[in-house]
Amino acid sequence: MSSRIVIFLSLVSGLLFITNTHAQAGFIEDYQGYLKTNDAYRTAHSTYITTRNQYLQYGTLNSQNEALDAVKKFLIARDEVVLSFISLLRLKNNDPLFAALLNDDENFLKNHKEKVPVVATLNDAVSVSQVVENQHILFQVTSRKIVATLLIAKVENLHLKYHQLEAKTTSLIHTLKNQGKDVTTLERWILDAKNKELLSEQKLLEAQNKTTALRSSSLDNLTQEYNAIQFTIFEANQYLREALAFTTELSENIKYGNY
Amino acid sequence: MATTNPLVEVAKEIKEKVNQDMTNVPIKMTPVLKISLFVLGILILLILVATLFRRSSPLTQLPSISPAVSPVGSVNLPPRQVSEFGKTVDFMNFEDDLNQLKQENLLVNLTEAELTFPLLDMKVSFEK
Repeated sequence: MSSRIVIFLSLVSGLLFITNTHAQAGFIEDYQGYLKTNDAYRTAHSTYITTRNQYLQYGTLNSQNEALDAVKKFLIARDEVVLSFISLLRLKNNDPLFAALLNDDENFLKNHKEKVPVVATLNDAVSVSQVVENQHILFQVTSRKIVATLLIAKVENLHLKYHQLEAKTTSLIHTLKNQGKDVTTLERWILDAKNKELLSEQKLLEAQNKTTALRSSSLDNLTQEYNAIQFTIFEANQYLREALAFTTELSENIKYGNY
Repeated sequence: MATTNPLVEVAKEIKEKVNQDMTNVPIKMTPVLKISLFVLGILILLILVATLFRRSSPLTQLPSISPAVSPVGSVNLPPRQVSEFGKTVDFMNFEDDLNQLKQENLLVNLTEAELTFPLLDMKVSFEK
């Protein structure tokens, strides 16, 4: 019976390892693709700026046609960069709500990309571009919310592991107490560690609230708010590190103390 | 009638005699003397220059006296004794978990630089 359990656990862990490795390889592949689309976007942008300047300087029909051709290529390249970035986010995201938002954004950009080739004038190009420009901050909000949630989940995962470790620590102290040992110092260490852990939890909660409240007022404000969230997550992780340092002191006390 | 001091008279006489003797001494600027004087002048100049350079050259500066460092021998602390409880399986498992979690906490990536939104030109315009 026990051998069957061992085989089952080995299979599960093997499958998990393979899935994780596969997901990692998928992300690296998609990231390379994203970098390529980004390079293509830069080239298209450079050509658009050059032809635009030539058109504004000379105003000839030829320069106008060249500018139109360049701006269309640029708009398609810009959509492709965002689409490629969405696929990257999708690989990292686990939240169904964000997944739905990403699908909406993707459909919107695909539709937009299909409309670009039929643009016939420079004014039309400007109008077609504005459709994406108006949505741009919303894309950024979704993207930053996904990344912030991802970072919070990482620290939460560490928190969960710390909780399990804390339970083990308490159990060890109980055992020592039952053996009639003096555990006053150990209890003090665990109390200090618990205080730090509580502070870490508060910071995580703060980061979650800030992420939920992230709005699209302007790009600068958005960046500022996101940086504040990231800093709060750093703080949460730092408090957890301090809790671990106190637990280490406790562990050293048990290991080399009179126990 | 002005009276003259006899000592003053004697002094005047001596002065006149010395002047007379000095004018009679033959000083001839021979080539040997000229060369000797020239060499002497050069030597004095060289000595002056050497003295000046000796003062300013860092190579000739006196070494500063540094306090002597007494070597400190390595301190051999006695190995710490692991407690009886520290040798139990429960404690060793706990210690492993703690070290693993510390490592994870240290290496966790909280930037996700790959997921930074790309910088895009979001203002297409054909107006000057």
